[in-house]
Amino acid sequence: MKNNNTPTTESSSNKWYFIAAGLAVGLLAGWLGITYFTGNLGPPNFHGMVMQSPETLNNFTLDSVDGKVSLKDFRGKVTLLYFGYTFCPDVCPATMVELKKAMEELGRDAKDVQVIMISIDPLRDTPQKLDDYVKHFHPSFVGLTGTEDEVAAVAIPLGIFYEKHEGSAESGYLIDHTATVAVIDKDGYLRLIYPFNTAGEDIATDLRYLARD
Amino acid sequence: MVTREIHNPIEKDKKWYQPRIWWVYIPMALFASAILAFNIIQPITVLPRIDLGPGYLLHDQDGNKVTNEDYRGQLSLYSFTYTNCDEDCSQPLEDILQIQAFMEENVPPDVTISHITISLDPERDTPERLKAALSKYDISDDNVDWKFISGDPLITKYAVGSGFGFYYNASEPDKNGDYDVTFQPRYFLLDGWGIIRTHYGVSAPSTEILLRDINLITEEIKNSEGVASLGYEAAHLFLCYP
Repeated sequence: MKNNNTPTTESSSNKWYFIAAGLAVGLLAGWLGITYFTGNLGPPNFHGMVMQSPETLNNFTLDSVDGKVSLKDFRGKVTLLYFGYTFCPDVCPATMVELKKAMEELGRDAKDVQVIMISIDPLRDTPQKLDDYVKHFHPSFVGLTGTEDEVAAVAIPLGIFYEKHEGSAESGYLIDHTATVAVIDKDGYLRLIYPFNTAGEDIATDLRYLARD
Repeated sequence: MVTREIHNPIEKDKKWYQPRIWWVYIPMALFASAILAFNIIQPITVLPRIDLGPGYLLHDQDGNKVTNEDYRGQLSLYSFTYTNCDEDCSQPLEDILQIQAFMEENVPPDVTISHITISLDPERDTPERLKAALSKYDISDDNVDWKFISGDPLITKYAVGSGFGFYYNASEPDKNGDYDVTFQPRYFLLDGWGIIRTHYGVSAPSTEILLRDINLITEEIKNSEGVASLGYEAAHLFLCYP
């Protein structure tokens, strides 16, 4: 009669038990791993469109209230570029509020993030006026402006369309413009594009990942 | 003590299936195998998201305003030439119109794609001149909308030179004031986000490859939500490009 309690048989059945358990855990870990990596590197878990630019964004230099500022000055930080103007009645303040929410949501990680608003209305937006405007939303925000040509040279390659049209007597002319937010990583690569109306909380989730990347 | 472990077969047998070893190595092996298999088999092929296409405001042959925002949410193919581009020119308009005719016939009706040709001679190519140059052609664009656009030279320079990143240069005018524009032919295929997904450096790209690339982007858009999108993002992650 076969003794099922012999060490050899026991070890054999245990072996298959552990192999089965290992496979189950392995499949689970594999699935979680793929979900984790894809979730952190692309939509739908990233809340903007992920870019795979092979080259860093071209550097530019524009005017801030504190003098000339270049994009490369912000290397080492995750930088968000938004193109708007201070007379903007709706889209710009709505976007700036979401960016402010993102900074608040980031907490201590906000020190690794820089929001820059570039004026597409350089004729009216002086550096001081722009600085007052962006600081109203968050003290760390930076406003940049320049000549019309200088602004066009930065905006057009980033897919920003803008066009003046008549507004009211109070506002003067208004400007239709692309309202996306571009995210540049710490190394200067364009990584994400947010459409208008992306929630600040969602932006913060993505930025937290990019900030520790 | 060490000697006993080596020579006792039961102890040795117990050692190799200890769960703490398997629970570490099996997941790692499976994960590595999954990555390797995805890389080798490449079950999903995607086109890379190379860069943002430019923003612009120009005018078509009918004088209508055309901007990049007009093409948000649909595919767009960009080509480049100018009306004085004669038979010795690197990108004859005829080649562009042949590509247009091919797309008109072969792009499935449920795929929304437009074809935009940007003039590299905005100083001379007014809407009237564009229209006159096109008058000798029978152009069909019911299925695939086509426009020949031109406008502010500075916007053209930033859009083409910086945005699309390719070089063009006007030669010195001769005694009659005529000049040529030097450039290499180039086509860019953009998705609905205005992102450049591929480009072709020939005057007449392979229609087979063009159609394949249009289908690749279309399939990715169709699968951009839900579980399927994870596979497509994995394909981007593992550079599963054609």
